[in-house]
Amino acid sequence: MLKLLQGLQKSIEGFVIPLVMAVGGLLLFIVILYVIIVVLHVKQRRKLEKTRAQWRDVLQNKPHEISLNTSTNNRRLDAVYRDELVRELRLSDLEQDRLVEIYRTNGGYDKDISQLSSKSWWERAGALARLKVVPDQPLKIDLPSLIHDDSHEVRLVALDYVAKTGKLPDVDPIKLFESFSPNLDSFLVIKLLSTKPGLDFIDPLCNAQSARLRRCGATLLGQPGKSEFLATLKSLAGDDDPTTRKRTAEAIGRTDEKESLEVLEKTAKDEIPSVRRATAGSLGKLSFDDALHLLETLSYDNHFSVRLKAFESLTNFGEKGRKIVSDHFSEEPELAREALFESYQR
Amino acid sequence: MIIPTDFLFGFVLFYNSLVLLYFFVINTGYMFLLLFASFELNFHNKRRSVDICQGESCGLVPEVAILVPAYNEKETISSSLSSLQELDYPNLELIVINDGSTDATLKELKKEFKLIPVAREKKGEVTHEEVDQVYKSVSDERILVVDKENGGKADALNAGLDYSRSELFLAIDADSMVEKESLYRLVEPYMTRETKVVGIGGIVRVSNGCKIEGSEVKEARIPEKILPSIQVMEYIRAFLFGRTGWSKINSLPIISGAFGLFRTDLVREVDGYRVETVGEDMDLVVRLHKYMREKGEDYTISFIPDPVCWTQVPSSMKVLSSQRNRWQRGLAEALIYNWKMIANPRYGSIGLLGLPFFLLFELLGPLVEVSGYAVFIVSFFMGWINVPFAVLFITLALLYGVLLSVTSLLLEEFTLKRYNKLGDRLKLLGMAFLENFGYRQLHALWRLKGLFDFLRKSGSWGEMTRESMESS
Repeated sequence: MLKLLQGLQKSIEGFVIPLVMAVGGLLLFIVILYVIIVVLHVKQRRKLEKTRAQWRDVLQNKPHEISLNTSTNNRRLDAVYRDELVRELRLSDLEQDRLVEIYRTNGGYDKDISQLSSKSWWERAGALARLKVVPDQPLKIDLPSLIHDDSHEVRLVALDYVAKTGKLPDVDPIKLFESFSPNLDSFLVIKLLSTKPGLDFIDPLCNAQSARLRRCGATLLGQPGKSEFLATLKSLAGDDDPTTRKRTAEAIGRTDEKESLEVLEKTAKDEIPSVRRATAGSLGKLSFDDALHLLETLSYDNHFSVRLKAFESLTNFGEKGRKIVSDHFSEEPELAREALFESYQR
Repeated sequence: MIIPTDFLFGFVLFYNSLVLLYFFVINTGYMFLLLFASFELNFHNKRRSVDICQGESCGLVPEVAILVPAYNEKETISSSLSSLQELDYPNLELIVINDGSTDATLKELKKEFKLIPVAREKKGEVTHEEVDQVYKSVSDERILVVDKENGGKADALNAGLDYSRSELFLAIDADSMVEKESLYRLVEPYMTRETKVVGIGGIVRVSNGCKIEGSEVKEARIPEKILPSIQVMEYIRAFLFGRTGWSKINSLPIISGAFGLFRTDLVREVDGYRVETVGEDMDLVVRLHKYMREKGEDYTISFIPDPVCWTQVPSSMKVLSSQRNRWQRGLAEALIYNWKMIANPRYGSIGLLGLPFFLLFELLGPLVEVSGYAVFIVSFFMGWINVPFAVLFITLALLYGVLLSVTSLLLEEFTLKRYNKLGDRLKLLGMAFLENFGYRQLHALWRLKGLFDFLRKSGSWGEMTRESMESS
């Protein structure tokens, strides 16, 4: 054993020098590389800051001089400069049309459009992210194909673009939701709500067999001033799936429609506490005096979370709401005190 | 008893060879992590953030509860809570858990945030020490204060979980400074990843030496003192290639207790934090992996490098040694409590790679390292090992370490670039060398003591003395 170890020590001698040279050499190389990169980055940052300061000056003082030099020979760096220009444009106080004009005149728009057909997903995503800030009209972008792009990252930015421009492209709602993982449902709904989709888009979702799609449809119905949604809301309030009923009750709080109270009358009697709680929350947002008697009923609910929400909502109704809260003081002193404090704080 | 010289010589040679092999394997393991991390960071650098909050539908983003356990935090609690009020996020619950403080923490909160006693429903899914009273702030309806009997940090977090109504919760330390947009950045992967996201960790950076205005870091700087400066380097390495690398292969076994976002329902399902350990953050993440693997669901526990939480690190040896001692005990406890997962193929990459690596190299590493240095020094001076062997030992033990540190700096430079001053970046380079000569050995010694304290079942949480933020 001892001889074996001594032999090992001896045999090590042969490759110690090459190994030390290799590790040491690599270390030296990385240190030098680090120093060079740091120096280059510092220089690049200074140059970029100088350019941005010039842009800012032009944008603030001479907005009619819209020729901003962004061109470089390096394709990657060119995209960096366009990113920076877009950031500056976003920070400026100029009107949207003006920003688009500046970006277009400086060649940014054409470069980004051509970059949308790049094979690299990050180039497509980058171009779309810039165009999102300065979207040109009329749309020359094939949005439906970008929404169904192979790259998940590009699809996310495409949805962001849709939300920013507020224009829903012609896509099948069911196919759209099914092409994304259910984990993205809330993200999709938020994006789509920004486009204020109509019944033709939402109805297929609300009538779908999958509870997942009906839940998304219910949330999409929560838009103010859309009385045509009432019939669909009514039917979803009796859905088999409790989460769909809860989402329906929540959506009504965003509708601002007095007629939707009859839907809430139905959800206020739901067997699931979370649906009744959502109803209490929505009633507080509607602020129609007719909602008071429903809230008063919910303030006697046998579930604590429903009573708590009802008390919170009652404080939105001024003196009338406070009167109901005060009546509860003897049996629910802490809930009543909290609601009254909040009410007076407002 | 006389030990034969031949036997001693043979043992020394054998042990030195073993330690050499250990250094080679651990550093090569880190090299692979570095490789994984660079792929992940490259992807992260190329991807574009998307807005998760858009106009009127902003209210639909998931509600997040920020849980702030506080024990004797009279001096800092008001400023910490005020900075959290400034966070840019629409659906927020701020839950401070006063864990039986013996100073005037509660009084301070009552005074600053106009608290009134309220009735609140407990979910009752996690156990914790008795709650004396729940308070709500009249000045900010998002603030809830849970006043409870002392039970430790994990117990306080469980109480916060019990009263939270949010879909997600963020556990932070009372003295942490969370960057304004951090919450959006943490929630973004939760909303946009195709697989179910169970937990997300952000990067913790060192606030010592930084330019701070109010409760916001205005400019990241490297501290003047050497000890905190070395820790800046250490944190960059640990987070940027350690956590990012493990995250890439979905084997991240720890999300810092100072800055981690989790799904409330799942944490309740695994019974919340374990109170018997000082490593409650690692234990929770490991149990979440276990739970999800046993359920057979696709999931991720991720680390993302740009949401930043700033924390003050110890600037004295005494406090630092007690902190590292506690971390080592926490690691030991998390591994012992979840030993059935180690090398168990049922738990996939975390069982076969993550946990065995942590057991062999993070937990037992200090033992091999400290004894290895001792035996090496003795045998070198006794003339039992030759010069080439000694050179090889130093190369693998120290130079390889420096190589890893400098490469992680390169990663920082290519991706996040948080330190703008040229001088600061060069200082970091100096620290990459310095930490491997002296500090690393001392650190191994502290961790070894932590391991012994764990075996003897002794040790406490330890105290962190903090400098005033304004002075740093």
